[in-house]
Amino acid sequence: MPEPLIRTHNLEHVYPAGGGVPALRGVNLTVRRGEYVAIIGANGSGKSTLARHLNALLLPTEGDVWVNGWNTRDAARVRDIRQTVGMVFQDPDNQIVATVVEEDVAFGPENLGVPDDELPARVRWALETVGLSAQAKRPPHLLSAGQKQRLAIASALAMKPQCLVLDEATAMLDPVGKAELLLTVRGLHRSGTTVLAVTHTMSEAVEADRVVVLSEGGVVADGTPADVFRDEETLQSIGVDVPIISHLARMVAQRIPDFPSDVLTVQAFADAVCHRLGGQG
Amino acid sequence: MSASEFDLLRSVTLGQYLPTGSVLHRLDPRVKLLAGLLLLVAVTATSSLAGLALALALVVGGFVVARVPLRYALSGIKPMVPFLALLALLQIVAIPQNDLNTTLLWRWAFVTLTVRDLVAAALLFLKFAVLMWGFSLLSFTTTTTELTHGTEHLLRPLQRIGLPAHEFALMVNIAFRFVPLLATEAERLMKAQASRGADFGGGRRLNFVQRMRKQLPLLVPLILSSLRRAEDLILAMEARCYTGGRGRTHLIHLHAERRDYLALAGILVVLALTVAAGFLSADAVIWRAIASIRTS
Amino acid sequence: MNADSPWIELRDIHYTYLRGTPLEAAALRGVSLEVRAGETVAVIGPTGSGKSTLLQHLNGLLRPQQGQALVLGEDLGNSAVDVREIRRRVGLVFQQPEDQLFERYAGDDVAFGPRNYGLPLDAVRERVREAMESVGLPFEAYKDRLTMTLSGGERRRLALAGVLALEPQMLVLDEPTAGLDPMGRRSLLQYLRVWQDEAERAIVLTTHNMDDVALLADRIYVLVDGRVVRVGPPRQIFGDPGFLLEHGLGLPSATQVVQALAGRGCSVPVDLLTLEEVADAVERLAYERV
Repeated sequence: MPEPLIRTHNLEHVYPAGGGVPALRGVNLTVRRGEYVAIIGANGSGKSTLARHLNALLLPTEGDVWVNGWNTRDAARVRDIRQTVGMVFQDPDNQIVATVVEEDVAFGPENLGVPDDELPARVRWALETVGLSAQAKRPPHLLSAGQKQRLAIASALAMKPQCLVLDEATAMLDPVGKAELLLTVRGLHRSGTTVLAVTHTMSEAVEADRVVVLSEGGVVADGTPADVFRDEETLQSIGVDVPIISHLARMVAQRIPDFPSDVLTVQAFADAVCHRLGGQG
Repeated sequence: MSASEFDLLRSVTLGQYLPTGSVLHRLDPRVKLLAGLLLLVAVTATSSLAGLALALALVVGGFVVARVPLRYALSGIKPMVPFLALLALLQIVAIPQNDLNTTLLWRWAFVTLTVRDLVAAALLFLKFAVLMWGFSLLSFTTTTTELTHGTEHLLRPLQRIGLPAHEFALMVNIAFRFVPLLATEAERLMKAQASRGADFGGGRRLNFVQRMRKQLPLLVPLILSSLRRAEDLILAMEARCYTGGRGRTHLIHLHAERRDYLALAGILVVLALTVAAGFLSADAVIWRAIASIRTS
Repeated sequence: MNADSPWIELRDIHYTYLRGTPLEAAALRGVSLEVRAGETVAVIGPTGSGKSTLLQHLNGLLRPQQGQALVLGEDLGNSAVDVREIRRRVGLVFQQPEDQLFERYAGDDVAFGPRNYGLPLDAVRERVREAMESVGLPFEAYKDRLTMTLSGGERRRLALAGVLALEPQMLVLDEPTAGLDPMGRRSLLQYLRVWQDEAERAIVLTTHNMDDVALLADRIYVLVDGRVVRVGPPRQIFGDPGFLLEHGLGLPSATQVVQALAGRGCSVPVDLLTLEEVADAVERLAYERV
C-alpha cells in the first residue's frame, strides 16, 4: 500500500497565548493520495489549526506531521512541503498579492524559481483549470468574491501541488460563488488532486469521500458522510449540524416505515421518495 | 438633491486610473516614471512663469492625448486650493520682494505687495498645480501594476549592490492593492458608527484630544482590520513559498520601443526649456515684447 | 403620519454612485418599497443588485437622488429633517457588524449608541444591561470582558446589542446570518422573531439564505439590477422557482426538494416552505397509495 500523502501522529498544538489549553490534542489523521476529506467541527474545535499544520505554517508543540514522507519540522523541506500542499484561505481579498490576475497566479511559481519561459504556460493552464482565462489581464478587485477564491485556487495550482487544502474557502461567498467553487474543486478531485476541505457548510461536507469531525481539539468521528451524519444527536451536542436533507429524511423516516434515513442530498432524497412510492405521480 | 455625507472618493483624482486606451496608456511605465521625476525637477528648478506655462501646456496636452475629460482632470486641484491660497499669502507677507526692480502696488503696516510678490505667489501656485496635475496624469494613464513593475525594473540594477528592489516593489504594490479596500472599509465603518448616532464632525470647542477621541470608532476598527489583513496576507505568502526577492523568476518583462524613447526625448526637451527659461530671463523678455507691442 | 400609514414608503428611488464623474455606476433604478408596522420584509437579489444601497436609504445614510423616501413620517429628501433621530428609531445593522466594535470593554461598546444620544449615565447603564441580556450576553458577566477576546458569535451579538441599546422601532439588517455557524444562525433567527413579536416593530433584512427568508419574511421584494422585479409573500415567490433560478437566485431547501420531486413525476404542492410541510406532504403521498 503506497505511503499516505499526509500523516499526523499524536499531533498536539498549544498556542502561546492559549493559556495552556491545547487547540489540538492527540490527533491521528491519515490522508491517502486522491482522497477528498471534509473536516468539520464547531468554531474553536481546531479545524483551521489542523489545516495549518499540513503545510508547515504551524509546527506541532508535540507529536509529528509528515507530508509525502517529510517531517514538517525539517526546515530544509519546508519549501517542498508547501509546494506539495497548496492552501486557499477564507478571505478572498487577503490572499491576493498582485494587482493583475495572471501576475497573482505567477507569484507562487516565481517564488519557486520556475524558469521565466515556463511561467506563461503554467499561468495559462492554472487559469484555464479554474475557468478564469478571460480575466487574466484584469485587476482582482473587479472580480466577484467567488472569482477571487477561484483565483486563489489557480494561484495555488500554479505551484503544481499534489494536495489542496481549503480552509473555509466558501464561508464568505454567496450561493453562486459557493456553487462555482465546489464545481471547480470537484473537477480537481476528479483529475487526481487530493482535497482537504475545512468547512461548516454541511452541503459541502457531503461531497467528500470521508468526513472527519473535530471537537475541542480532538477527532470524534472519521468515516463516510453517511456514517458520520447518522448520529444527529451527538453531532448537535458538540455544536455541529447535520445536512438539512439528512434532517428531513429522518423526519420522513419517523412517519413512513422503511424510509432510508441516511439520505444526504436533495436528489438522493427525491430518488428515495419516488422509489418508496413506486415512482408514480 | 444633495449627495450623501459619505461620498469620499468624489474629489480625489490623484491615484485614479482611467482606462481610455490612449497612446499614453501604452507607453512603457519606465518612461512615465522618469517623466514624472523630470517634471518634479524641472518645476522645482525653474523660476520662470513662461517656463512653467510650457510645463503646464505639456501636462494639459497630456490630458488631451490621454482622452481624460479636462474639467474632471483639472478639478483635482480643488481640495488643495485653500492650502495653496494660505501658502501664497504667507509667501507675500513673509518673503517680501521689494527691491528696486519692482513696482510697489500696495502697502499696509509692514506688509508690502509688489509686482514681484504677485509673480512669486503665482509661481508657487502654478508649481503645485502643475505637479499635482502632472502626477494625476501619471496615475490616470498608468495602472499601479505598471508603476510597480516600472519602479522595480528601474531599481533592478541596484539589486546587485544589495538594494531589495523586489521587496520594495512588492510593498508598494500591496499598499496600492489595499488602500482602496481600506477606503471602502472606512466608509462602511463611518456609516455603521453614524447609524449608532456617532458624529465625526469637529465641534467648535473641542480640543485636539477630544477631537481625536471622536475618531476612535473609526481608527480602532480600521487599524485592527489592517493588522488582521496583514497577518492573513503573510500566511498566504508563506504558503506560496515567498522568501524575498532572491532567486525569484519573473513573468513580466518590460520592453521599451521606439515610441517610448521618442516620447521621453520630447518630454526632456520641453522640460529642459522650462528650466532654461528661468536662466534666460524669458519672463522679462516676454514682458518687454508685450510692452513694446502695446506701445507700438 | 396616521396610525395606518406604512412606516417606510420608498417611491421610485434612483441612486447612482459617483454621479457626474467618469466612474459613475447606477445602483438603484426606480425602486418602490413599503414596510408596515409588525411586518418582516425581506429583500433578495444577486450580489450587486443594489440591496445594500437600498437599505442605506432607510436610515438616511443615503438621500434619494430621485424619488421620495418617507421614513416614519419624515421625508428624507428634506435636508432639514433630523436624520440622527431617524437613526435612533431605525436601527441599521451592517454586514459583519462585529467589525465595528472598537471599545476596549464590551459594555462600553454597547454604551456607545446611548451615550451619543446624550442619555444620562444611569439610563445608559439600564439600556446596556437590557440590550446585553436580551442577546444572551449576561450583563454582569460580560460588561467588563475585553471586546477582542470574545468569540466571533459573541462579538456579533455584542454588535447587535449596541444597536438594540437605542431601542429602535425598526431593525434593518444586511445579511444578518452571513458567516455564522449553524447554531449561531438558528439562535439569531429565533431572537429576531421574538424581538419583533414583543412590541409594535418591523424588520427589513437582506440575505442570501433562502431558508432564513422562508422562516421569517411576511413579504419578499426581489431586486435585480437595481429594480424590483417581483413582490409578494413567500409562498407566492417561492412557488415560482423557475423565475428565481432564472435570475441567479437560490431556493429554500423545501422548494429544492419540491422541484426535485416534481422532476421525477411525484407531485407535491409547489408552495411548501418548511421541512415539516415537506415531510407531511410526502407522508400524505405515501398513504394515498395504500
